Amino acid sequence: MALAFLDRDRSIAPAGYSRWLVPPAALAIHLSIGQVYAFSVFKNPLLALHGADGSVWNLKEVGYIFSIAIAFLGISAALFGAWLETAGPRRAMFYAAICFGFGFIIASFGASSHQLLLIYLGYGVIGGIGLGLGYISPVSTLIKWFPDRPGLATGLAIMGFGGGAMIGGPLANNLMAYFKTAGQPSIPSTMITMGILYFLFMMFGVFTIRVPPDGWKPAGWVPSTKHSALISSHNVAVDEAWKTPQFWLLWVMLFVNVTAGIGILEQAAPMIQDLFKGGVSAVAAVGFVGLLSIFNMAGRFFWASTSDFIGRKATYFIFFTLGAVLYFFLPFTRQDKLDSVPLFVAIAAVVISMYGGGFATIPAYLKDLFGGYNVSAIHGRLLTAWSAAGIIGPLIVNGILDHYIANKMPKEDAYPLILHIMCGLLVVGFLADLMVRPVAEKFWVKDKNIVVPEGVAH
Amino acid sequence: MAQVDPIKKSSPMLIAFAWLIVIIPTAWGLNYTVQNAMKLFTAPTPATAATAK
Repeated sequence: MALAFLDRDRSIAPAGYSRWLVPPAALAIHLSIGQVYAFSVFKNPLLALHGADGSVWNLKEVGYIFSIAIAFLGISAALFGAWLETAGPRRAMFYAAICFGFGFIIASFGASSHQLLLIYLGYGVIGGIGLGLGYISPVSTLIKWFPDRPGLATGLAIMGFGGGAMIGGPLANNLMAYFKTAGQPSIPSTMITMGILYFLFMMFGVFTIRVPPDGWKPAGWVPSTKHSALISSHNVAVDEAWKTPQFWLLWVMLFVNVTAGIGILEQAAPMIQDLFKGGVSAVAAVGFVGLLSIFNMAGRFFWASTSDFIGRKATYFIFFTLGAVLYFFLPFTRQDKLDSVPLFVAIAAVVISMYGGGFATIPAYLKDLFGGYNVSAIHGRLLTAWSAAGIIGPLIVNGILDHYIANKMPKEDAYPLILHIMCGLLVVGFLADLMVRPVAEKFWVKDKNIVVPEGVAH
Repeated sequence: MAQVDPIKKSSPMLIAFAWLIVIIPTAWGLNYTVQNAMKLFTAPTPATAATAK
């Protein structure tokens, strides 16, 4: 294959290589591509741009940039997951870096020439492909290095995606301010700079990542023979996995968890101001959004790590029971009911931690059910649930809000309806989790047992 | 008898350096976010701001 140094065989770790060098490689990728969730900092500057004919873009048109990127994240993760298993993480990360970095460069030309289609192509399509490749690239490798703590390992990486938004936002703002002061066109210059910076940072991940040698396991670790039968002793190939009911049950679970989180994230700042009119300023609302992003990031690590101890099914049970109760109760904290901002914030923080936790725990759940053989590829296909939630979630939220506004109904009365719909979705997720059972033998790859489970399927 | 080379373990300094490369930008971004989050607790309410004029 071209660029042979990227081959999987060339990235096998030598004896003595510490597995603790692998999470930083994964984090370098996720901290970069996580920038996508901070893309909104470009929104107002893009709206302020004028074409040569004086034309401007509207909110909806600019909003499509993010939507296209997330759509292509899901498409590319699904399409290239199987390729990744054979090509290896180094090549996948390299291509992700090329796409993500180059996508910024192309988008910069779109901004400087006022061509929105170029931004759609650059940041949306090409950058989106980089997002999908980058998101799934380290998962399988991390699980191989940390068979004793798959939740911790994947939680670390996917926590990076949340952290990426925290870096991307102030980075873009500071660069735009710098270039504006320097008399340079701020958006194109910022995009070029960010494209180069992210490419270089992702290269650190490319050249640090290693795959363990065949048969490697942590020193002193012996796979437990007593565990839930949900933890598979066999592997399932990607083309068989999505024929199983278990795959679609997890798809539903991820879809409802993400949709519910979007129910808060999509309107967090206006929601807290509307529910506590006169009690929360616009500045404080920004603080609320910041707090939610901290809990989003922390939840990814916390819940995924916790799942190593209590099990994946139990972790999702917590999301769908505690989460449903909290979503139901959240509207009652508003001004004309309990009138408690601290309680509203605390509840929102906990549910958003579970939004992040749902993303970070799902790879370990897939590994439990389908084995590690094709886990990246299966994860890639499962991420179509994220893309679907990214479309359906805002449609529910904005559709209800638009209806209330159009009919001159109080906007603060729309939020309880939205949150209670999300509560109902979480109940669906609970039922889906309840139905998860070990994968049937007919779907197994015919290989020898890894471990014979003795525990019950729960 | 052939001499067996001892296995060379990864240097702790290298491991620390690798983690620093990712922790530093994360901490930078987290600092901005925490400062923003603090506004939720320190920003005056609109009613208070109006009275203070």
